[in-house]
Amino acid sequence: MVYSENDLVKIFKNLGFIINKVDKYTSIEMSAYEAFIFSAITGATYLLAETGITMKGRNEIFIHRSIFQNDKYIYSPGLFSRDINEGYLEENSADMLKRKYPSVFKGKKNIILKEISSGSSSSIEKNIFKSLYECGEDTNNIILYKHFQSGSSFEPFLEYLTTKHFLSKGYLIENQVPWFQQKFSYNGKILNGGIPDFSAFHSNISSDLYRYSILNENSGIILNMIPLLKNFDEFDFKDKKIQKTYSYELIIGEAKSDKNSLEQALIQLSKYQSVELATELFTIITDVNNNENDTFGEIFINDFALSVKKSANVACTNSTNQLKDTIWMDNYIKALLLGNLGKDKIDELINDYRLSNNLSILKIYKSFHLIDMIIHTSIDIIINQISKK
Amino acid sequence: MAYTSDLRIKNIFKDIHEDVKMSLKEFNLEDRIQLRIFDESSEDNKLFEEGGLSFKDPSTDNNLGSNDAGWTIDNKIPLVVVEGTFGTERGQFGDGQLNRFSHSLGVALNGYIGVTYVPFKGESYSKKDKNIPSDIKSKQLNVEYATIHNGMLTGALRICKSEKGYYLVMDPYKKGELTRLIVEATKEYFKLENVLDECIKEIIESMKKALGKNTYASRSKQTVYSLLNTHNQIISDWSRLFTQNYEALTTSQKRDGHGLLGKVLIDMHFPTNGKFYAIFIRLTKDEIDKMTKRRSKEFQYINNHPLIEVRCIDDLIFTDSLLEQDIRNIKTLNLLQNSRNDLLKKLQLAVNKGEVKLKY
Repeated sequence: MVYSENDLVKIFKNLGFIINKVDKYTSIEMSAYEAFIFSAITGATYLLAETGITMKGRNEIFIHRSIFQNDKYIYSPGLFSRDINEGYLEENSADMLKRKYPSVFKGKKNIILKEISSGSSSSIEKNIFKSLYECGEDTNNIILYKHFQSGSSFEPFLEYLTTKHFLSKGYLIENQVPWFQQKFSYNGKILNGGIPDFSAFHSNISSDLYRYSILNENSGIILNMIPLLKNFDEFDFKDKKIQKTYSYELIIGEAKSDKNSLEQALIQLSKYQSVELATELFTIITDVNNNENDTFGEIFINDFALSVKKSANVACTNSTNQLKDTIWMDNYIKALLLGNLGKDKIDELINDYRLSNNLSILKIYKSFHLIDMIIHTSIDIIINQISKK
Repeated sequence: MAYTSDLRIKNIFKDIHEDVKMSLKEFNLEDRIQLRIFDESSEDNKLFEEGGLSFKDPSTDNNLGSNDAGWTIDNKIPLVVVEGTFGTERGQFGDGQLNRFSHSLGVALNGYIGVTYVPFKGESYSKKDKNIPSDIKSKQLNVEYATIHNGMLTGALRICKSEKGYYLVMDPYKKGELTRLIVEATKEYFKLENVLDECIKEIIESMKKALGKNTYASRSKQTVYSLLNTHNQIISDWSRLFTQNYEALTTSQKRDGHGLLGKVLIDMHFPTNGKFYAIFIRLTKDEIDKMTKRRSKEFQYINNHPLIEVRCIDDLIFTDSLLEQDIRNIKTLNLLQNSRNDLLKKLQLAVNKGEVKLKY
């Protein structure tokens, strides 16, 4: 099912966005904060440069959940990088991105829509960048969203709409979810891995994020933004000293552009369900309002707006594994928060941790020294370090 | 959808492009150098002249692997074309790294600069209980180091010597090296004073340094240094006994075709006497015929290349019939779960000693 540009405009209107025109392009006006969410989920590119710059794919820390990896943390560079001597470095920290792309974090943005017909090249950024620049448009504030007629761009767009829905319910959200890619043995069965498209979740750390006003009942946060909070005026890290208890929740969704892929989505969700972590699972398919499965709910588009139909049945879960997964989730969020600190401040945290644990102070810290500190350091210590001027 | 590691590398290439443009500004060339990069791999797979990032092998006309980014002059002339991977940081310790050998090869064979951009020493975290660093408290971090495959470096160095283009292997953690290469290549194209030769020489030196004293395939149980025919003539001084069976080459889960192609593409440059023989000890003549009819890109490439001869178990003459039977008995065995290294070593010795010969 292929949506036209007009259909997309109706969906954006229903989300409350203002529709503009930039040169000959229809555009959607968004705040810097909203535009960041759109780019980080869909991969849409800021026309800060002729190749286009996306905020997607900049916050990788762990590629698998440790519950599936013998309780080990499977770290991968992304948010952090390293030097040739293996010392960890900042790669996509708040300071680095603000230095490289300052305009991402301020002012109003216009998302321009460009339809790409099947078989045409998608490499159109340079031409659009040039033509807008020549018309006198400020390309720093323009984001290009390529809408492929083949339908290939619609899955991330559905993930974006689902993100908007669960943000309004106060969840932590991520797309391309760490899971397991190799084979995993569970309850006597060998399961093949995969990467769920979407997750909305809560763990113990949600209570801390609530206390520091990073999320609340009707405003959640995408994980891509957590390393960059200090670049947005919306966050001040003040401890409001109000407690709210959150219990483990993990909502998993599998996005497909149309009903032809329903069976594939159900197979994938069944695989994710079989490890008994997810509390709710959904098919996210444009035109499927009944997936004929007893346990999986449906997320679909109805009259140019997202509809969410929960399943009447509850997914079977394993509370012991959920407890282990909570610890992994908490450490994952703490790691992401470190993006708000420069390397010198993180090194201070590592030194403090090592001194108090009788571990030697080193000149070069590697990724495992960093992760070791994260596992043993509280969120309060990390946020205090971020709040220090 | 692209996975995050692909996005990470593409984000890095876009940043490098901005640095390149900045460096070329003083020569007024910043608008002449262009970066060709795509959102989806389907576009990478198109041939360069059709707007993509793949190249044909001029000697076979077969498409070789696609690349992730290409720096071009006016989006027409390829200058530096790069395949990037963080495989050594994601548990690729061995032959899996060779899956991508063909990607930069196509660039080099066509006379351009091909670069494989991969950490030479990758930190690969795994679920094993060993290799937990001693100077940390956590027991939940197992770090192993995946080093760049010496076959990748050896093959690339040979290509640099024998072909008109370059096959360079570069470490993304050596900041600024790729930017410098592209800037100097651009200046060379426009006949401005440049240090491109010096730059390439330095990269090749660092490849040699990473290779060290390691010799490609020195511990392999597959390589053949003396292959005889029935007339007792040495017909090859570098060939290989492959253990892939029909299932491994034809089912999507196994996907051994990529690794096979990578090894062959390296090996085929090694014989100094005769051709390179790819001998599939777990395939029969019938299966080779079936493979020939299938549209497997990798197998077709190997089967049609003028420098490669494909043979199978039915093409071998054994003096030791028990050895032949033992080899035929492992045809469908899972060699990962049931290692038969002793038997493979025995076969390798027998071939090298001329006790197993090739019929033709």
